[in-house]
Amino acid sequence: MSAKLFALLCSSLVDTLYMVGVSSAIAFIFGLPLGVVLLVTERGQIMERPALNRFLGSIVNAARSTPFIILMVLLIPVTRMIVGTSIGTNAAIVPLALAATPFVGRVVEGALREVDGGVVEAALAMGASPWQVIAKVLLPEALPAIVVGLTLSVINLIGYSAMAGAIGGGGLGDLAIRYGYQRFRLDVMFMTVAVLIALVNLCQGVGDFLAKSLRRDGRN
Amino acid sequence: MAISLQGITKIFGQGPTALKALDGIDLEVPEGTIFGIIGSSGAGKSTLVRCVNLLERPTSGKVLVGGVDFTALSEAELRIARKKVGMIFQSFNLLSRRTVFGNVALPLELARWPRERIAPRVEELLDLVGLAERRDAYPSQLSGGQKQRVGIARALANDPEVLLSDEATSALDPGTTQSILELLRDINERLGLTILLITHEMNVIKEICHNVAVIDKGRIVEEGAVLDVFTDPREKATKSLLSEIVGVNLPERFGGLDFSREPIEEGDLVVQLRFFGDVAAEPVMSDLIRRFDVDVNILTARIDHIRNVPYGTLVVGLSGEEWQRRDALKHLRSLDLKVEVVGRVGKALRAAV
Repeated sequence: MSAKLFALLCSSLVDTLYMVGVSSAIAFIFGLPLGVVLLVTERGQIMERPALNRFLGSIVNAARSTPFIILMVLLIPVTRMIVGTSIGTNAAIVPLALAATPFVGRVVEGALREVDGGVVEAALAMGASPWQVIAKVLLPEALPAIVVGLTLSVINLIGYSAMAGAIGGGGLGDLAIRYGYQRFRLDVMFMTVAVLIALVNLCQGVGDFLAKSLRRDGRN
Repeated sequence: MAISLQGITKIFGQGPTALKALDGIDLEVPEGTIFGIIGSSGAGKSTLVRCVNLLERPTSGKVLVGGVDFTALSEAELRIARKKVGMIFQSFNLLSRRTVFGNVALPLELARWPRERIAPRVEELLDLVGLAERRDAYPSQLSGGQKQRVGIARALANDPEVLLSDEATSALDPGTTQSILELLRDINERLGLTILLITHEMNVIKEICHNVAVIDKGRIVEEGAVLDVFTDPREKATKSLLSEIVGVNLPERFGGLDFSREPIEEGDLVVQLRFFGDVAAEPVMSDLIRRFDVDVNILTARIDHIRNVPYGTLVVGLSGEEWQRRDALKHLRSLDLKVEVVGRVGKALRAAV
């Protein structure tokens, strides 16, 4: 492999890491509270607001059922408004973060749902407020499951970010399309895919390790 | 603090599928007592205990704890009131990611105690339940009995005046149950805590309760001091719950016998005696044999203790002349015993024995 190609691969990897990193961070910041709200406002939960729950749920479902590539195109005006352009890594972050937020929300909701209802009840019996239940019981108890879910979200984002290459988002996907596909450089294609596989494996490994080291329920 | 439940009704669901779990429960739990509510599964006992701290809000009725009507409190007031009512659970409900120390500290953190006051308080509680050396263990590393001890320490953290126990020993083996019950009794005596516990095990009631109420199909069917209810159960539900420990049934091999109400020549008189208290220490049987010259044949017997008071059930066959048996029976009835004539049996009884 030529030095030029290697440099290209490196800069594409950095682009991908940047896109995935920033969009993951944004998705976590908004997705975590979204997941909490999705759970606690459900009927029979500690802050039940059935109307709000239905409203949020339908928005999340709508966002999640829109194919990412369509979402990306649909969001171009919004992206222009926020970033100033619809091309490049910064522009790709907007649809990536927006697509991942509802996903993270559902993942967090699912993790919180797995917390034993008896533990929540015990906290309520001690006189805990709903906010205290969230902060002292639900989130800490669900943490290992949340980490597993966030790992899943990051890996999803790596896949999405490759798709962002299709509309000039930069990163490994962009490299694979422009060099590998459009110029028939099979070697570039394979290199890119190999780097993506390694990246996904690394994320999964780190996530699994973290989740395992956080577990205290005797399953680790 | 005393607990007073007034006309508690709880209906789950609405319309034709609605389920009446509690149906007009009135109950007075005197301050400082250990009060047991017993019932078979589905009788509504769990719903009832959860109604006391409003984990389950009753459909109608009042819950008074220490004179305060919990049902009339706002959410914020209720949270404060709940700190005076500790609760322990069948499945312990400990936080898996907190250590023993962290679990006991939780109610204090929730009550916003400063950190430097939490540590000594937790140490003190762990000493009380005998778990000081396990303070850094996680719940998954503890036995069932140890987990319940953590549960008890946690329930006591806020210095409650009432402790609710929701089948706290039902997941434990008999030996561990015994040690947890002893701990509860100790707490009741040392701290003067009012304990309201529910259980399906008569053994638990027998071991530590002062008073007992029997719940069946959402209603309290019988209530009183444990000794009274045990030695003189009136309701069918009580008798069936009691049968497992007072075992008043005749052994199976007597099941096929014909009991007759009428005197039978040469037959035996079968009498069931229930006794409790001092009379248990008296040599009733040998006295009977000596004075009336009857043969006494013990068919089945069971002697036990309720909070150190002996009580028992004895089924005996009396044989002899008809007048001897009659005099013997009259004598038994004059003693401090509950005497019930099961019936008269012909010679077959002796053959069966």
